[in-house]
Amino acid sequence: MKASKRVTKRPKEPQQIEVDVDAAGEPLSIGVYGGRQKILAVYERWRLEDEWWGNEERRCYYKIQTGHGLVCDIYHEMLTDIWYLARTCD
Amino acid sequence: MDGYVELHCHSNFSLLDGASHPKELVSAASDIGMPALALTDHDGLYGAIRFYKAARAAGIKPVIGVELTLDGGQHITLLAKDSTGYSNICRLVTKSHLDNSKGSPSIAFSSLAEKASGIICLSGCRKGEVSSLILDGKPGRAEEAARRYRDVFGQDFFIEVQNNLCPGDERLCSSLISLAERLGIRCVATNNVHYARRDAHRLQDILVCIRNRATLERSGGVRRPNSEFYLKAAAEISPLFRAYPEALRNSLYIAEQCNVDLNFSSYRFPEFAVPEGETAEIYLAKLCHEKARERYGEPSERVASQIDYELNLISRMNLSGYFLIVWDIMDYAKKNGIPAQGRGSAANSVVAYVLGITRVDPIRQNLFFGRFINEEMSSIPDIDIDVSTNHRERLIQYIYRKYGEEHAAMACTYVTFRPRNAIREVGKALGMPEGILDRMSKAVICYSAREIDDDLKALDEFRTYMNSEAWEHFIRSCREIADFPRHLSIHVGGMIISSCPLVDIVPLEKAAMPGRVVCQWDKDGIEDAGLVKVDILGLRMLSLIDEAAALVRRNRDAGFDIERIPQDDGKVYDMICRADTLGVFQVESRAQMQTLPRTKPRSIEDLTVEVAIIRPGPLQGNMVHPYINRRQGKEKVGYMHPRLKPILEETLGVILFQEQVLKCAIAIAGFSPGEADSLRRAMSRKRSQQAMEQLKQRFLDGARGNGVGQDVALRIFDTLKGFAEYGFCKSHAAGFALLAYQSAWLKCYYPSEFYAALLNNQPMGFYSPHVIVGDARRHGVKVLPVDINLSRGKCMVEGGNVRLGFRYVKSVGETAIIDLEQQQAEKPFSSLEDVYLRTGLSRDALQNLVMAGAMDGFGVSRRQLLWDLGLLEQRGREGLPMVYAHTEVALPAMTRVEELSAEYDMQGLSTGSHPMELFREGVPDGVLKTAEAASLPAGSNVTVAGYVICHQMPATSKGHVFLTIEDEEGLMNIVIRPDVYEKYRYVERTEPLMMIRGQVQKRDGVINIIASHLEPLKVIPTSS
Repeated sequence: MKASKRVTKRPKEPQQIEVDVDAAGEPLSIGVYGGRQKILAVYERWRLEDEWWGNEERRCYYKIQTGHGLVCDIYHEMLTDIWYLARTCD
Repeated sequence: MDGYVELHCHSNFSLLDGASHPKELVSAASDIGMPALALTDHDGLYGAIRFYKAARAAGIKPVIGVELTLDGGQHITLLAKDSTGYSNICRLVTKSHLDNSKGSPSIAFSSLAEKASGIICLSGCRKGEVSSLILDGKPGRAEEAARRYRDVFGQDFFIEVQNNLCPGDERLCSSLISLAERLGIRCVATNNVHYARRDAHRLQDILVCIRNRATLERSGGVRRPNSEFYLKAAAEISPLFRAYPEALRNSLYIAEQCNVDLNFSSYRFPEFAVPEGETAEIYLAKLCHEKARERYGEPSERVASQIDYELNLISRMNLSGYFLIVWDIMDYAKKNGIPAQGRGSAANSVVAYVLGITRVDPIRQNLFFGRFINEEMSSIPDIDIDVSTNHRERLIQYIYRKYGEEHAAMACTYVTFRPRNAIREVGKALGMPEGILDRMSKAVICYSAREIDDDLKALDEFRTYMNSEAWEHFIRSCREIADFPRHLSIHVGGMIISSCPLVDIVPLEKAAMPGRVVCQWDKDGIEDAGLVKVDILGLRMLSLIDEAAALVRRNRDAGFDIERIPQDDGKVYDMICRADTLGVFQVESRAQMQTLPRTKPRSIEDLTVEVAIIRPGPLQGNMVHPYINRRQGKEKVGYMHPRLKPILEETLGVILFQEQVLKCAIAIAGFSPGEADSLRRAMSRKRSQQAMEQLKQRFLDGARGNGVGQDVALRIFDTLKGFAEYGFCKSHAAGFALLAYQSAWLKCYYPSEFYAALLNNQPMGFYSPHVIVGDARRHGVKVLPVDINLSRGKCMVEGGNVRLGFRYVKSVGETAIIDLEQQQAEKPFSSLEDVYLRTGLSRDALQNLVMAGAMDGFGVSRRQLLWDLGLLEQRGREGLPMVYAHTEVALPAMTRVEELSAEYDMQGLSTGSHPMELFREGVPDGVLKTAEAASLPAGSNVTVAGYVICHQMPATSKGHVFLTIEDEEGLMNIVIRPDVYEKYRYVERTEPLMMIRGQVQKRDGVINIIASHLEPLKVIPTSS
C-alpha cells in the first residue's frame, strides 16, 4: 500500500461498531455512519495483547477498505467479543 | 518431511529472553508432529547438548544453530549443515565473545565471511540487517546488504520472513519477498519462537522486565506486543504465509540439509607424551611398579596382583592416557608444594593410590575397585582432585600451560533462579512493594522456587495477599521460573581437556575472572558430549592444614610434617568423642556434634563411617540409628547370611557404603563387578524400575546357584534396595576422614596455629568467624584485636594467641595491606596522623580501622579519632599542620555497646565482649546462661537466651527444627518440635536474638533443650 495523503483520525474513545464476520472470524462488513459498508480489502492484520496481570486486553486489528471508500482500522476485543473503530483515514 | 519446521527458536538459554527449557520445546514440537526443530539461542550454544539429546530421544531431528549479534547490533541466524559448519559456528561465537568485553558479544561481517563454509544463513528477525534497513525506509541499502550475504553464502543464504501479527509484520514480509524475488534469493518462514506454548508469553514478559529492570506497567516499549511467539504447528502458521507457501516448504528443505552429530567421544583426551619407544600402557605400568615400592615397601602379593588386575582393566578400557594425565597433574602439585588429593570413587583404586593421586590405601581400607571402574561402564569415571584453595589457581594455570589454551577450558555452570531471587525479581517485575518482597525472601526456606507457595502459606503475615489475582500471577511465575538459568558462572573446578582444539567442539567465552576462559557447556553437557573433565576443586581445609602446619614449623618445630603424625592418638579421639569439634573437617556440624558422643569414633575407620552417615541419605534410609544402637551395644549385631559377615563386619552388620552393596551382590548372587555396579545404579536416586526388575531375577537366580535360600535372597535384595539409594561412597569418606583427623590433631596440639589458619581461610565450615572467636577463647586462645602496629594482613600467632588480621576489616584491601606492612617494617606508627601521612589509605579504610579498634593503642578514643580524621581529610596529605581553636573539641568516648556494634559492622566479629555480656543485665530474672542450663539435671525447666548461630530443618527431621544459640559462655542446642514450630515460626525464622523456654534433655552425653516457647529478646544493652 502506497503512502497516502489521507489524514488519519482517531476518535477520542474507540467507537463500538457492528461487524459481520465469516466462519473464520474475519470481518465482512461494518456498521458505521448509520449504514452498512461491505469490506472490499483487508490490507493488514495485527494483534495486540497487554495487561494480562490486570485489565487484560486482547485485540485483533484490521486495516480495511470498504466499498464506500472508507479506509480505517477496526479491532475485535477478544475478551468481550466487541468490535471497535480505532482510526479512520479521510 | 511434511509440514513445517521451526528454524528460529530460543530456549531459556537465551538468558532472560527465552521462556522454555530446551526439553519443553522438544516436547511441544513432538506434540504438534514437527519432524525437526532448530535451537538458535543468542550468541551461544549453551543449551545445544541437552536440546540435541532431548530431540534425539523424542525422534525429532535436531538442527543446531545460533542467533549471532553483529557489530552494528543487528542479528543474523546461522544453522550448521555439517561438522565443518558446526565448528565454524563455534569459532564465530567464540570470536564474538573473546574479542569484546564480557557480556557484549558481537562479530564483524568480514569474520562471518571467513567462516561461512557448512553454514546456512537466514537473514534474521526484525533486527536482521536486511529487515531493519527496510523498516528504516532504506530499501536500496537493504538490497545491498542482501547481495553481500548472498555473495558470501551463495545458495545457502535465505531471506527470513516472520509474521507474528505485530504491527507492520505483513508489510515487512511483502517487502522482503519482493526483494528476494528481485535478487533470486529463496525465502524461509520462521516464527521467532521464544516459548514452547502460547501461555508462556506471560513468563517471557516477566523475563524481559527482569532483564530491563522494569515493571510490567512501565515496560510496554520493550515487551513483545502479543503472544504469537510460540511453537506453531503447520496448520497454525500456514494461513500467515498463504501468499508464500514456498517459504514454508523451504523450512523443510533446510532441515533436510542440516546433519550434525554432537558426539565428541573420539576427542576425549589428549595423547600423553610418553618416553620414546613406550606406549601409555607400558609407561603407566612401569610407573605403578616403581611407585608401589615407595608406598608399600616390598608390595605384598595381594597388592601386586591388585595392581596388575587394575592395569589390565584400565588398558582394555583405553584409559591409560587418562590416568597419566591425572598423575602428571598430581605430580606437579607434589613437586610444587601444592596440597592436593584425589576424591570420590577414585580412592578405590590401588593404581591411583600408588601414583599418589589419592591418599587412602584401598587395601587397608577394604575398598572396592569395581565401584570406580568396571567393564560394563558406559562412561569414563571422573577423577576429581581436591586442592588447597590458596593454590588452586596455580594448578589450573599449569594445566592451561601444559595442554595449551586451545585444548583446555573451565566448564561453566548455570546460576539458576532459586526461591529468594525468584521472589525478588518476579515480584519487582509485577510491581509488588519492595518491603513485602524483602520480608518474603527472608522468611522463605524451601529449596526450590516451585515450593514458594506452600512455604509462605504457613505464615500469617502473607495469608492476606493470597486470594488475589496478583498473588496467582506471582506464584505461577515463580513456579515457572524455577531452575531457569539466570546467568553463567565458572564451575567450581571442572576443566575440560581435549585432543582437538576446543573451539571446534564448543564455544568459549570470557569468565568474570580476568584471563580465564570458560566453555559454554556445564559438566552434564560435557559428559553428554563424550568429553572428559577433571574437577580441580578448591578445598579450604587443605589450605587450613597446610597453613597451620607452616605456622607450627615457623613458631614451634621446624621439622614438623603433618603427614607423619600418628593416626591413633587417644587424646585426639577423646576430643572428637566429646564433640569438641568446631572447626574440625566434616564432623563439626550440629548433627555431627549430636552423634559423636554416641558413636565414639576411635580410629580412622570409625571416622570414615562418621563422615558417611550424617547425611540426609543414610538418615532417610534408616541406616544411622541401627548403626548407633549396635555401636552402643543396645542392639545385637547380626547378618542375614554368613557370606555377608566379612563384608559388613566393619559396620556392625549395617550396610552403609556403596562398595558394600556391590560386594554383597557379588558374594550372594555371583554378580560381576559391572553387574553389581549396574544394580547399584539402578537402585540409586535415578531409579530404573525396569532395570531393577531384570536384575532382581538375575540376583535371585544367582543366589540360588550359591545355595542361598530364596526367602533370604529376597530379604537381602530388598535391604540392598533400601540402602543402595542412600549409601555413601566409602572411598570418598575415607579421604575426608584423614583430613578430619589431621584438623582435629592440629586443634588438639597446636590450637593457636589452628585457629589462626581457620580464621585466615574463611569462609569455610559450619560456623561464622564470631563463633570461632568464642570457641578459641574457650580453648585458652585469645583472639586479639586488629592493631595498626601488631597486625598483618592475615591473622598471626602471637604468644600463644591469635592477632586478628587487617583482611577482616571492611574496605582494607590488598593495596592498603601492602602499604601498611611496608610502613610497619620501617618504623611503628605513633598516631593517627602518622598513619595518615605515611600511607595512602583511603578515608573508608582509615575510618573502618578506627571503628574496629585498630588504633585504640594510641590512647585516643575512637570518636575523637574519627573527628581528627575528618580534620586531616580537610587538610589533605600535602596541607600544613595548622590547628584552629574551633576544630579542637573533646568528644565523649564511645560506649562499649557502640564499640561492639562498630566492631561487628567493620569486621563481622568482636574480639572483646560477647554481645550477650552487654545484654545480660537487661535480660529478665531467671534466664540462665548456657553453661548453667547445661549443668542442671535432665527434665529441668529452663529459660536461656542468645544469638542464633545455626538453624536447620533437615528434610529427614519430620518437621523438627534445630537451632544452636550462643551466649558469653558457650553454645546450646535447641530442638523445636513441629507443634511448637508452627506457633513460633515467624520468630524462629526472623529473629537473631531469642529467649527460649524449655526442658533440659540429656542422652548419651548430648545435651539439648526441648523448646516450648520462643520470643525475641528485646533488651537495652548495658551502656558501659
